[in-house]
Amino acid sequence: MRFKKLITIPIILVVFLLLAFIVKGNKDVAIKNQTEEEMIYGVGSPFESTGSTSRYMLVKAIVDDNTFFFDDKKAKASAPDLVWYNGKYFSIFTPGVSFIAIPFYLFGSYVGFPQLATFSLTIIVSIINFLLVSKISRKVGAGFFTSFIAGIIFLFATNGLPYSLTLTQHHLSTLILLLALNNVLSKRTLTNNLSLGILFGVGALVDIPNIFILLPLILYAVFNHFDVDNKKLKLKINLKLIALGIGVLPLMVLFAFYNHSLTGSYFKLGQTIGRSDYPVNLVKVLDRASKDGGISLPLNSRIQLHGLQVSLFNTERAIWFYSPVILFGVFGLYYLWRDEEKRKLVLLSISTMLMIIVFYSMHGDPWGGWAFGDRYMIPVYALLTSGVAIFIDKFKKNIPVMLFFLCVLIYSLGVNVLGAMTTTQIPPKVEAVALSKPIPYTYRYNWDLMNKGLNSSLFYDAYLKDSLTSKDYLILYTAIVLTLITILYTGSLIEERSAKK
Amino acid sequence: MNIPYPAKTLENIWNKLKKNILLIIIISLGLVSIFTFIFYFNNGLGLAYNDARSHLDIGRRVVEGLKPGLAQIGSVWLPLPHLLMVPTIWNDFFWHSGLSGALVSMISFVATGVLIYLFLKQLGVGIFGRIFGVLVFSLNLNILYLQSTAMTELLLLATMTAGSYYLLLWAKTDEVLNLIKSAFFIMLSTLIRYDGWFLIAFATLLIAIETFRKKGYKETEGKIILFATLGGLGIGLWVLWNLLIFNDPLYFAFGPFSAHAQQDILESAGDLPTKGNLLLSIKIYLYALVYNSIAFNVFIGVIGAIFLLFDKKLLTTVRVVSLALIAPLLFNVLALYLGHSVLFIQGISGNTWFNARYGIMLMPSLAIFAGYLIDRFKDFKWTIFGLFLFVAFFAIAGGDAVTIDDATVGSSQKNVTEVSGWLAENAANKEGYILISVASHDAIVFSSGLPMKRFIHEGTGAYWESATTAPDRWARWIVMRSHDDNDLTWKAVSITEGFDKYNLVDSYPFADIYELDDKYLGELNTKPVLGKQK
Repeated sequence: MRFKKLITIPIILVVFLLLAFIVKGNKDVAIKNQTEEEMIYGVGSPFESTGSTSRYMLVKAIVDDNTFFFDDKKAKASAPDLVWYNGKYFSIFTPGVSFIAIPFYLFGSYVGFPQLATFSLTIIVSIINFLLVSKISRKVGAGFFTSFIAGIIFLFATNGLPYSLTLTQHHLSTLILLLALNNVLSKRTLTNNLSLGILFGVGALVDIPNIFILLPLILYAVFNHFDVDNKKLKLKINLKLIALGIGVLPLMVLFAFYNHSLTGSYFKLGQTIGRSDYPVNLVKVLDRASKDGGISLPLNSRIQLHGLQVSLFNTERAIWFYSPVILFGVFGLYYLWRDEEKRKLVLLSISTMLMIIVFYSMHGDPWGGWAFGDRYMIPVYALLTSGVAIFIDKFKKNIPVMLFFLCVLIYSLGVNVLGAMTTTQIPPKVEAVALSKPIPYTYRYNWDLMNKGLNSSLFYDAYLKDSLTSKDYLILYTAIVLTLITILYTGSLIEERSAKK
Repeated sequence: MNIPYPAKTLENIWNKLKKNILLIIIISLGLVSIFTFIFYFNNGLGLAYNDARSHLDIGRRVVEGLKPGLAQIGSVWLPLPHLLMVPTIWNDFFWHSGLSGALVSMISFVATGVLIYLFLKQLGVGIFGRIFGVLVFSLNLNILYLQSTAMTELLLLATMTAGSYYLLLWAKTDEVLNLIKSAFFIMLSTLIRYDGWFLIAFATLLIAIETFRKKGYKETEGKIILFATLGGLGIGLWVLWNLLIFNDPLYFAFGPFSAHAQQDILESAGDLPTKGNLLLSIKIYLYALVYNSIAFNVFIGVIGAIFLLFDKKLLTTVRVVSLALIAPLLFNVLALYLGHSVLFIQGISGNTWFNARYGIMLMPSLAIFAGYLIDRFKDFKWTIFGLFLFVAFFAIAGGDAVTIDDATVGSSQKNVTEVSGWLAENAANKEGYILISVASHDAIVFSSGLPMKRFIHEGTGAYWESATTAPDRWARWIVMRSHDDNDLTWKAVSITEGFDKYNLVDSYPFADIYELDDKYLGELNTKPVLGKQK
């Protein structure tokens, strides 16, 4: 046990180093990215996506300018993830990620690397997610080492890796979800309820869809406060339920205050106003305003089939094409289901996964815009990976199965490391083919970029560029991750043998 | 906090509810049906379908017009929906509101909901699963819309589901009476749409397979003859009808107004891409199915179907006859493949909708399969139920109804308000007949609000023959698409001498209006002088 506790720290350190080796940046421009005047926005840069840039600009606006609004420079950098309203620009995103990033930015400003420090928020959160996935895997009965394999698979063999290098909501949402899952499986105490409420509130601030995604867990927790005593003919209500509301309330007040600052209304979300270009196209804005009147729904059931095709089947974003190793988690969950004790967790995991899939299938943009893999499914991958751990435990001595698993794992690792080392900006097919110079709409685009010598890793650019090609670095990095997994796998075999003795 | 609750009282209430659950379902569905009809009546969508107006006119012509009678049922469209309108369509409000036809759909809606409940009960599904099945069916906006219209889908769904239900009862009990009831309802479906013809054949096949498997050839022969004779009676009567009225037993299939004739025109224009292309036929129908039923419901329905078909706790016979529930899928794909049917899905096959509502035909089946699934996987019932409500909320709140799109922007709609408005304004208070082809312009007849007896059309016998020979003696107004030989009025009238006596009043998108010059009004017949015709 002590040995296991000791070995955890080096594992975390290795994971941290591996992420550090892949952080985006260019040694010449890394410094430049730290100052607004010289920020670089090209493919492979930390600011290649306005999903990160807009959130980063909000951080800067709050800290540097003491406002939620953007000046022209920030607005220009953030478009089209931008809103124009009543003569002012602001980020289209909910402020949660930016609020949480503020201390990181402050620290980074102090040491002279605000961009790197701010973006390290997501790296740290992704490491926490790695640990949580491992913890949940252990909770469901996976071995010590296998559970770490699951965590590594989540972090490196899914698009969780490329998105750990951005300033987006995905890893934070995943963290909130995993914490909430852990919470609802625990006793309903005042503290747990308060924490759950806070998680829900933070989730809403980080990304509106989290309200729906967390709903199965919240409803489960709420219903656990009611019990029927048939003998005494009494309905028991646990008043600790109220702590749930108390936990949510301050964050909702904060959200309302933020909305009010932007729109003049506590309940009008900036996200519902609509995107704007920079400079603003007033004709478009006025046209949109004239059509406003009814309630516009965020989800559309008519496009559900198409959304499911994109998430699950098309090569544009589908799981089987970008991270097929995760699908072994389905087998694992099936085995877990057969164990009555684990059934509750499996049920909650599956309910949440289905909620995410159904929600985003009706979303107006199932591709997630220009993205690498299906970024909305990152929380699903986290939930499935505990199943992968169980699968490995069940079949680790079955050589043909493990060989097949290994092939799929290498593929998944390779694809996602490729994505992390190049770009997350792959357009949907319909946009890719319509470009004046069409580009591929799968990771083939990343491969083409790598063949041209692109590698977005700051470490590679600073220290290895002259001695290794970009592809060599990809292979080396993947091999290191694979080696780590192999060591852990060996550890799991030893662990099993020791347990039998 | 402990709250005492009256357990005994609650238990009694619950038992009473369970005892009267069918009544509660009937009342609930009835209220939903009435509310939805009023909603679509008020916003005018209840009569948006061109076909709905035609169905109402056909029913009306049986009771009112220059040559009323059963012969007005005509050919091509099967007769039962129109016959069921006869008791009410004599009333102008029932006719022009569409209530005469909608009433049939509304009753069918309630009946189908009840049948879904009963079907699931026979499968051994618990009360939660049965109610869930009813909800899946009744919370579908396409179903709610169609049940508010004079379209034939709901009546067909009710009779087909009833046929399948009694087939299931037969499979469980082996009682011949259930077989007869099944045949009866399927026979009714054969008099509504041609989907019923496929069902009778398919159901006969299923009965043959199961009876042969269990009891051998002799028993199979007897059962098939019994079932097919009764079930096929409607088909026989329809063929006889066509022979008697049109002197051609296959007039409905190959006549000038048949679907075959329509499809020929489309094929020559290159608009029948599914003919001969099985994959495209499957794709297009599946899209129609998903758009009508909502993807999530199709997903749980398909999974439910698979588990039902492989559930060893159910009798093999039960599982085999349950295949009757997928007959509409097979029929529609086959019809598309053979070119007997046309279906446009916007974005997949062209830029418009046409007959997209055909995809609704599996809704009761999907509801049954979904109800079965939620019962089979009880641990997931709240997950499935919650997700269903989530999707249904956005579907209803978002107005996701492809049948309404088809009716309002697709090829099934015809905005004839300009023509019909002109007639209502200018012909209502003047004497004289309007010569018009109902095969092309039934929507104009309906929308004008004028009584049927003001119109001379193909079904008015001697009036039509006379008016198309000497229009100036019979028709004060002529409504037709000029220079289009597909319009029977133009085809006949344009070559007559009398046509020179007409002035073109105006040209509209769907038809032109001609009016007899005032100086010839003295020679015009304005009364029904030809009397009762045979």
